[in-house]
Amino acid sequence: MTDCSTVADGAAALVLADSRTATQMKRAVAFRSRSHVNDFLPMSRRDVSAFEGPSLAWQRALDSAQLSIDDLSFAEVHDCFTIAELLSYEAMGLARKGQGERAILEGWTALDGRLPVNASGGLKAKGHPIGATGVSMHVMAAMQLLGEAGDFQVRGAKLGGVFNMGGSAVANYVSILEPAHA
Amino acid sequence: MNPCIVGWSHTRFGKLEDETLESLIVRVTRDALDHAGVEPRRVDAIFVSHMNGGFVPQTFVSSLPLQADPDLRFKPATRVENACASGSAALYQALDSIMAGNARIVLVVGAEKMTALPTNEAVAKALASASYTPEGADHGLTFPGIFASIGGSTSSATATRPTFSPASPPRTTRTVRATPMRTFARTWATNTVAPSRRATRSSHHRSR
Repeated sequence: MTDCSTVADGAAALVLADSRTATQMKRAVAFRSRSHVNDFLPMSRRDVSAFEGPSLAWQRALDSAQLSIDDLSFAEVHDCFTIAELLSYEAMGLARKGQGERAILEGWTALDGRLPVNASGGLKAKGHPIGATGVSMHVMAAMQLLGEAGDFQVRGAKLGGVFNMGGSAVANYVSILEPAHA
Repeated sequence: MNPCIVGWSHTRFGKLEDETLESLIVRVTRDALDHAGVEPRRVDAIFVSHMNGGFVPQTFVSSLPLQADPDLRFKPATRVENACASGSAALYQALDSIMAGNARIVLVVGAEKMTALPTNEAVAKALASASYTPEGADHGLTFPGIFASIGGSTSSATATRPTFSPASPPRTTRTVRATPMRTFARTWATNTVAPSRRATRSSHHRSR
């Protein structure tokens, strides 16, 4: 019960531009792929712990970009509660079903691990002002990809995944981002 | 026509007593446009991510970014909501509008003011509006409770797992198909996992 992200105030914003306009900008981060999957709202209609919506969103985003999870440099995932992050590891294919904790215990998700997750600290460290969170996660990813993440920078970040979830695996968004100017 | 992120802004997150929802939205609007080096008059559309659900009385928020600069007046602006994924929802609407050729430059603003309510119970009630209320909120089940149940118990294997089933018939007059919830048989050792980088013990209710 205590592994919860905090109730918080906050805001974040993004400016988007079409690719031609972006060539004239100082900074540009592009979307290699994205996917949006909704699942039923009542938990009685599904097995929430299977995280089917998130799994499908990850699969579609990676498949449409012809990538595997191993191609990502880092990920920001929706750790509203600790268990959500552990299940996210399974949904993204980082860990087998039922073995989410292995990703942490083996150091895979550490800043110098094979797939750093939530180098920003995630929702649990930042807090979770609901409307701001999804925007915040994409800001964190953009900072990583442009080498502007300061002391939580993932070295050589080239491709980042963002997984933002609404409710208990009901609204599921996965974005794969990369620097626009190679 | 692949749309790109070209600038951003981000406030501190926390109990921001000197900020209102309105001041947060105006602040990040100005700061993001400055960061991108984009003049406000060049913005073609605005999407605002805001869940509310009872945190503040103001549900109609789409025009608040316009207050950041006189040149934003008369821009089309829409609030987008998909619970805790409202931010991505608003962002994807922005991406779609650029890909459709309806906009060149779009602003996405996400904000929430959650600490203005007087009681923890009021906060829990607002959050619970993002669950299926006949199975959640109506039975006093909060999101920490929901996710705790998903996490299961670390006590003995014979401990009773919580199940999600309506304890009583739904309080509506419409007939609702009552499907029993499956039990969550998985056990997680969540309290043995302590990544050194992040805070692990955060109360979901305001305790400061």
